[in-house]
Amino acid sequence: MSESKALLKEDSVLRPALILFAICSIAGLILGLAHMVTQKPIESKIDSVNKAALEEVLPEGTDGLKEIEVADGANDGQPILIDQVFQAKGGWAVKVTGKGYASDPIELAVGIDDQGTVTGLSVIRSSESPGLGSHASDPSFRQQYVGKSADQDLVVTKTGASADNEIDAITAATRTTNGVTAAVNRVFAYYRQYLKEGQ
Amino acid sequence: MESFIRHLKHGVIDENPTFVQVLGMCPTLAVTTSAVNGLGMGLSVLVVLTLSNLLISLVRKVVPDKIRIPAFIVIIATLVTVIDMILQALFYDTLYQSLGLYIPLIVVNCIILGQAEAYASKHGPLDAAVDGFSMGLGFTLALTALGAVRELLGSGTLFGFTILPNAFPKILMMLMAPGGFFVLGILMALFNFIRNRKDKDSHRAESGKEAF
Repeated sequence: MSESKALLKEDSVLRPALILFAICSIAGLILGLAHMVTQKPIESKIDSVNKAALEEVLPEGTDGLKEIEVADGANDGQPILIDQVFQAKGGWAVKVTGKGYASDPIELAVGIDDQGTVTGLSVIRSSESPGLGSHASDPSFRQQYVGKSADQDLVVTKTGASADNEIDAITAATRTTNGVTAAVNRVFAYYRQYLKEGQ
Repeated sequence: MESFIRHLKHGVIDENPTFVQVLGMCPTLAVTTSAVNGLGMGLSVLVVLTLSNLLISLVRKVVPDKIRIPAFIVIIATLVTVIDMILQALFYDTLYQSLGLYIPLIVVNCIILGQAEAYASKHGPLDAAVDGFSMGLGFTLALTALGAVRELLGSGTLFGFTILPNAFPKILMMLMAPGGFFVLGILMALFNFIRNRKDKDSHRAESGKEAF
């Protein structure tokens, strides 16, 4: 009894250790509670952001939207070709990630109609540099992809797009442009191999 | 009320965390590519700093000196993580898209730990909260000014609105790291130049009074 009291005395090593232990336990408890409370709302927010992106890129909205399985073997090679495919009336929406300048990938949704034409491109999530690569989310940049044909791979140009399959690079964000374009090309490759009629 | 104003002046001018104490340089340089980003980061720090100062002041008598730093860090990190979760739950589709990246950075922002150590651990909860608020305000104003200058020169816009005509050459470097250092240095020099001159003026006025 007297020994345990000695441990808790002012100058004992154990006293600060126990107090720190108590603080950490309370912090852990608070974090756990906060996680429990916010988990559901966060998931539903992420869901609605994803849904809005699909709605935006699909030719005829999300009518009859259903996720279809990514074809066997499509993701065998590196880099991962595509993440998810959704089918809706009149076309498909493909979720894909591109590697830009930031360490986190750029998450995109690309819409393609049954003629193989791009109907929309939406940036779901990106950590590209604000003021530079973040311009990838601007409508003026994304609009460039709309109407492109999936038959031909896109190329990035810095001198002003002249050919049908050229995309103007964002000033000072060439790597972001390359990342987005490469991702769209992977969607094209997937479309040609698995989605195009008769495949 | 008078002490509140004195606190504000202390945080915004005399001990401005960015221009005078030169604390929290990492987020300062990284985030301020536009006025909105600077404002957002500043406001996040303002909220966290006010709350963390309040919390730390409340527990200051329980926490022994030896373990104060780890204890403060645990408290601040918990607070920031909870705020991050709440922001995600409420504003994932709007505010979080632009600020999400910076919230976790607040944990290692040395202004927060600096104020906890220098002020909150030695003063009552109310004073500590007011101190946190004024330091946060000083930080917010500094970051917004920095962001505004960089955005204006780099993209020709201010808070997203086009200000400079398209023909005006845009200095892209202002949006990159070197531009951040240049603008920070120039603003810091200006700020301290004006502050020093004011100080001298008031000194002169005081000594003048004595002579009469």
